[in-house]
Amino acid sequence: MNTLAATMDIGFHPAFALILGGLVAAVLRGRYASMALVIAPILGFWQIYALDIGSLSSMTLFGYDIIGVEVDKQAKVFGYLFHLAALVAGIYSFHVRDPWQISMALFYAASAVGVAFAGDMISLFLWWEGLAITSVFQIWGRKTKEAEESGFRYLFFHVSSGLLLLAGILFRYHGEGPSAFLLEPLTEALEAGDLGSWLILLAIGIKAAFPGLHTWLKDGYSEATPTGPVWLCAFTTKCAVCMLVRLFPGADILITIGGVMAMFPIFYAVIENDLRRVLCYSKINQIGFMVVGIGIGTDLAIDGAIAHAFTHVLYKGLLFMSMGAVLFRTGEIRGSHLGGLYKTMPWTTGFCIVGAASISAFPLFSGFISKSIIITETARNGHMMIWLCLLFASAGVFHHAGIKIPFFAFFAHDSGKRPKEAPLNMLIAMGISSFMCIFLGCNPQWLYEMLPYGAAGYHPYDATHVITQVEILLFSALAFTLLNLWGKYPPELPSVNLDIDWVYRKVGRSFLRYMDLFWNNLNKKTHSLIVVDFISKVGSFTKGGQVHVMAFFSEQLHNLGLVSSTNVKTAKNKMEKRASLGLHPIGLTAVIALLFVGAFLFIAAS
Amino acid sequence: MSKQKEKINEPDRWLDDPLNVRKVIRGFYWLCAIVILIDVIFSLGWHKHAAFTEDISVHSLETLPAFYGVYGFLACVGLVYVSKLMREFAGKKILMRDEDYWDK
Repeated sequence: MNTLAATMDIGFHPAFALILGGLVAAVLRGRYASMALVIAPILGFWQIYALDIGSLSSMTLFGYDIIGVEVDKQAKVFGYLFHLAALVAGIYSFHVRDPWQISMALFYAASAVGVAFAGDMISLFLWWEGLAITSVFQIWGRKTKEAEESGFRYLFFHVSSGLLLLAGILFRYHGEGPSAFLLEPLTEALEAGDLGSWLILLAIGIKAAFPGLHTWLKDGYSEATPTGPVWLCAFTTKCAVCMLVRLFPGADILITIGGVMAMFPIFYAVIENDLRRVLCYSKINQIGFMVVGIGIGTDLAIDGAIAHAFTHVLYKGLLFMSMGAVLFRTGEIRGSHLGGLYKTMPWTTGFCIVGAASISAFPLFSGFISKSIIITETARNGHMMIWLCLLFASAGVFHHAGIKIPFFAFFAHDSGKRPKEAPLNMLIAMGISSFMCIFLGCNPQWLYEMLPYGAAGYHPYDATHVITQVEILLFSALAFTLLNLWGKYPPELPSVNLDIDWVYRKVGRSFLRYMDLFWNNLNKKTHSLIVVDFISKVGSFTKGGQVHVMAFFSEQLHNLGLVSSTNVKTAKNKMEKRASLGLHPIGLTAVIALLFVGAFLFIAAS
Repeated sequence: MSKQKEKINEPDRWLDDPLNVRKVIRGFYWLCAIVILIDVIFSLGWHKHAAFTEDISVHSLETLPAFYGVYGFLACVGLVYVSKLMREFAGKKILMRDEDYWDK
């Protein structure tokens, strides 16, 4: 047994190759740095292959036993997936020369591997935070003002997710003691209303883009670099799916949440103009399928969710790569400004169509072998409404991701743009992904054997499945064709659509503005009233009072010979000036003090 | 515009001819018809596996021939019309805003 030793043997951590690659990429420059993008995932993949199921790595820190790594079948599937995704994204990003983007991309992939193999809550939390910090560089790498702002919004969500996770862990620790650190299903605790479990679900929900918490996804990805979403789409949300499988299998609430996630984004996707944002919405829709599978919680449904995460990374990466290539070559990603690109980008078009067929779950493509498990399990467990929703979502995803993306980018009206074909490294990356999509679609057993329950003997290719699936897809396409021919299809318009982000981007900003207006104005008014007006009035009043008193007594004081002046008038002037400046000869001060003491004694006595 | 005109000098692609586009669309209609035909034959001649057991109300609907085709078609038409309403309803913009909306 390959028992991973503790602190001194960190070289055996499954994320080691990627971390090392990240360090190398940070130090080297040019092509040498890019080589790390290719070599590190290959080495890491081999390392995962060599891990034995059941091995553990633990260390003791501050009296706590931290299980840094626990190898099981699920962790290995995600380990393979993350290395494969990193390899493809690495080849795709081979031309990038920004050391921050390259090295952080590898650290990001390493964090994802760390999450997949995390053995307890503490190590999970550390890798979880790593995901947040390393991923934002794929957005900031664009180096525009929009990207910078979007990156901060993205960070806000992900740092909040980390804090909620920590809060959830601490709440549970407070209630249960050290057993709260174990990575074991919390479904029962959740359903019993345990606050810690709810906080943990919320933390994972942010990363999984639950409805209402999803806006970071469409906001961040659409502002990222051309290569950024290829990295981003592979890791963050899949780590969330991985953790939902570990912590909340069979939680009923996930079935409802997943159903909503599968449904609402498709409406947005139809009217969205930014094609990468369309892909973001279809991504939420696909994660919805996985969340439903986890919520159902049977062995086959869980396997379906994991299989769907696996195939989804490949085909969604492929679609983001094809759109990234379009953005890279044309500098444009709005559907309203694209069209006719198939003429000069035929390979990219072909790869995009493979990705589109896969996400739509055409038989022989990868989406079919995973999505059909979830839909079948939904029906077998009697969730009729959710089944109808998922069927609707299947038709809808073909409609917007399967047809709209390739159609508006590469066909539709001729935009007059004649960009060059995508660079060779991008084509190779897209080629590998396309191959994997078709290979897994034709040979599902390769994927099924890796799954925790071996897909429980499921066979996707029976006649009923194939016929019904082809039928639903072709008739969705028929609807698209007819609506387009009749001019009823909503045209691509340069626009943005309001989403939940309106709450914090507009209402939040207005709130800030009004608060600023109210409190800062109140502050200003108070300042001018009290500091400027009142205090100076009090000052001049007290000063004036003294001057008047001195002027009043000046004649008597002059007569007493206490003021050395020739006549009463100059004595009065002198006394007034002295009083206004607060200067008095010692003798006069003493007399005044004496008078005050006398007056005080008189008042006190009476 | 002049740039676009220059580019029109390139050789015509097969899909540039509207006749060929029509051919593709006609082929697609045939494909839809064939799939429905296969579904009908399969439903009547063999036994289609029902997704639901008989005690679930949607069972009898789901086993009808062409159910999936009709559902997919209606779903997409509904999807498009609802999405259009999300853009604007009765001449008023609902969710759609100008591109520079967030910068305002």
